[in-house]
Amino acid sequence: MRIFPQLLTGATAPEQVTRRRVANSVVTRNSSGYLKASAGESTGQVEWDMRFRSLTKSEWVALETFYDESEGPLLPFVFLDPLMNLLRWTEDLTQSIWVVSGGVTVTPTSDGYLIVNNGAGSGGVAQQVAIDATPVCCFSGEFRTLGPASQVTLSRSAAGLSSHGRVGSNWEEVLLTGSGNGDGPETFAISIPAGSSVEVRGLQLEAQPAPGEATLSQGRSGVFEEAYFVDGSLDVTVRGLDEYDVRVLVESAW
Amino acid sequence: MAVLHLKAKELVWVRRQRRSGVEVHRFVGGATQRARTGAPLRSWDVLAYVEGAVASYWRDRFDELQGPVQAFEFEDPESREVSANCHFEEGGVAVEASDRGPDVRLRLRIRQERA
Repeated sequence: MRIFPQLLTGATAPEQVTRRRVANSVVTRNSSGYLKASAGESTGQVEWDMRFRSLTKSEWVALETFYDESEGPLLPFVFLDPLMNLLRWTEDLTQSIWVVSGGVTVTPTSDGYLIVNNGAGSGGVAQQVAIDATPVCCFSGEFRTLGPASQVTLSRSAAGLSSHGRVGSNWEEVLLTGSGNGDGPETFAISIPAGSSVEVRGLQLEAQPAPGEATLSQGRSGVFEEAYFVDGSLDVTVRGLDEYDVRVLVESAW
Repeated sequence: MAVLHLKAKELVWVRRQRRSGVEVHRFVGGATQRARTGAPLRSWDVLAYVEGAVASYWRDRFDELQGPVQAFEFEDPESREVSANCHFEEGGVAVEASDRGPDVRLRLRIRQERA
């Protein structure tokens, strides 16, 4: 599946981006003046309004080419919401979306979740994300130990990327940044050595090279697999060399 | 006819629109229907500082082509891509004085149409 292009910086959207949720509701008013409101058949829409300013020529050409390949609003593409966590249930690691290694237990604490590895080898928790292209993503979280210092490894399966951090009794951020290889859904995993335990909070996966503010995902991922351009036309203003301003609207079912 | 291209001293801006040739119909309840209506088309709105002779050239072309009536080929002043079957918009060549000595400000509004 084609994916909305990232800027040279690795960001999906400009600084000026607005997300609008449109609920699908049906409101009827009878002759006596009573209103009856109910949810409609669909789950509604979400729309992103992105105002790109001073794009470079290569960024603009990538965007225009992508618009042409999409035939404007005709064909769907994957859009990674720049304002959402791409992982589901980061505030509840006991949800079934998280795959827990054998011998590993995950229990809630007052600040996050305690991962204890009683297995024979390294293990932890992992989640598969429907990204089958090659965007730059940043996988991050905060970790600490209640006992001796421990190593924490973050990994991204399809790209074979991993990042290691050694954490102690204070909360420390560990992050992994890189591109995938487009081979299909990717698994993002946290693993710790056998016999160790680590507390984790603020897990985040974002389509950008550096971590932003942690956002709760509440069961919903920011990966929108069937997004469309809203407009039948794309307007660009060229102000000079490598100075392209364009407004792009993207929509998806919620 | 030769390809018309703009000899600008300075492009203030080029506003270019890419029309996809796709129409989206939205129905009550959230359903949408998307349909191709034709090939993609472009249109331009260009503001540039030019020499007086260049402005005259464009005014002459506008008269010769009977304003929006006759088609021509146009070279995008920024990307240099040539598009066929272009027409001037109504009043699509406008010239105004500038504070740059003999140079004037030329505004072109051109639209590609289906052949």
